Formats: sequence, C-alpha cells, structure tokens
Amino acid sequence: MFRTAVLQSIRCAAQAGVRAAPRVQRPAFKTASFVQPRIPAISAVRSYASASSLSNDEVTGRILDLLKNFDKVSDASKLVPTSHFTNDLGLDSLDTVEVVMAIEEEFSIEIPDKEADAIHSVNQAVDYIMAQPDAH
Amino acid sequence: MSSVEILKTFLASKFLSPAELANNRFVVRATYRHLLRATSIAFKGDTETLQASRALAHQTFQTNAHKLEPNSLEASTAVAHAQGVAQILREHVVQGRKKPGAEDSENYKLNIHEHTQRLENETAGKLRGTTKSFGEIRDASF
Repeated sequence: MFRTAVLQSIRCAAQAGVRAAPRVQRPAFKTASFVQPRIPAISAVRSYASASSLSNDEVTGRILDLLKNFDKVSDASKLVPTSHFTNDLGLDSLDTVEVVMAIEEEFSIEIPDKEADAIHSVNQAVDYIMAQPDAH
Repeated sequence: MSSVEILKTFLASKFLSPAELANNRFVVRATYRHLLRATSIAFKGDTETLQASRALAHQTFQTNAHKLEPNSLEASTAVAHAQGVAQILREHVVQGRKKPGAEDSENYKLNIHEHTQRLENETAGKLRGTTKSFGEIRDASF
C-alpha cells in the first residue's frame, strides 16, 4: 500500500516534470521557428544589395587597373574601356586567357570555357561581370 | 613512307575547315586555362613557384604554337600532355610546410585539398613503394 503510494507520487512528479518541460521550451522553440525563416531572407536581400552595388564604372576601373599591372600590355595609353585585347593592346591568345583568368580571380568567380573564350575586350568583360550576381 | 605521311599531315592541315580550326583553337585555349587553374590549386600561396610554373606553361604553349602543324599528331599529343600535367598538378601534388616553431624537425603540415586524389586503403596499400611514370598516372582511373 505504501509502495504504490510512493510509486504514484513519483509517477505524478515525473509526469508533471514532463508536462512542465515543454511548457518552458515551447515558447523558445516557437520564437526560434519564427526567427529562422527571416534570417535567410535578410541575408538574401543583403547579398543582392551588395551585388548590385558593383557599378559599371567600378567594374571598368578594376579591370583597367588589372590590365595596367599586366606587363604584356604594349601601349598603356591605349587602355580605355573600349580596348580590344588583341587589336589595341597587342595581346596574343595565351595572354588573353591569362587576362580573363586574372579577371576571374579579381571578382572571385569562375567563368565557364565557352563564355571565357568569348571575352575579347574590356567592354565584353565588364558586361559579363555586370551580369554575374556572384561577382564582388 | 615517311614523306607520304608528311604530305598527308600537310594536306590535312591544309584542308582543315574554319570550324575545325576554331574548335582546335578553343580546345587549346581551354587546356591552357585548366592548366593555369591547376597551378593556382597546386601552388596556392607559393608565389615564386606559381609564377615560375605559369611562365613555363606560357613558354611551352607559345613554342609549340609556332612549331607544330595544326591537326598534326604531335599537336594533339602536346595538348594531351598539357591536360595530363594539369591533372597531376591538381590531384597528385600536395604542398607541405614545416610546422611553425618546429623548423628543425622533419614534420610537415600537408595541404590536402578537395581535389587531391584519395584512394581506398587497399588500393593505396598496393601502390606503396611503387614508382609511377607520367603516362601511368595520367591514364590511371581508379
């Protein structure tokens, strides 16, 4: 008789404990599930904003700076946003590959072979970078 | 016989259509690009070696471009060689650096990256102590 009373009281306490626990945890869980979907939304907006903050002038300037430091550019006075790598800057096809690689590294992206092969001038490079949301 | 072959390769290079020539050039440029990417993986942070390897790649590609006939066997062998070099640089070259503060000991910290080839224990055990030639590594597919 005494034993069953003890067992019952223990069970009651245990159940109360179990019942009490979710009551404490639920609000925390609720706020967590409420907050979680909002965080990616905020960061997505932020990364979009930072990508669009790459202005045409900034991209052009960075590419021209990069070409200025490229020792194979024969005539630095011909470095303008409309310069053609081969016709104006005197680069051969291997140099062009190197320039496009350097542009990839500058903007931390990887350009697929087909598209990298189609870039022959500063203009084309700027247009390509402006179309990349990942470029920064 | 050899003169006939020379004539054949000469004719083949003569009769290459513009589209085929453009495609060949595209493949060579893509190979060069992949080789440069492989050097930046294999020699990351090691500016001196990186620049030396890129200079060597540029020089070799330039000499071969002048020397080899387009569409010749030698040209395609040279492209395959460059692709093999790129693969070996990416998968089989691992950088080691002596642990800071323990330069006297022969302990190196290896930079094993995502592209490094990793084999099953069994296969790796079989290869232990064996020497591989360039061609074997290039052609090997595990």
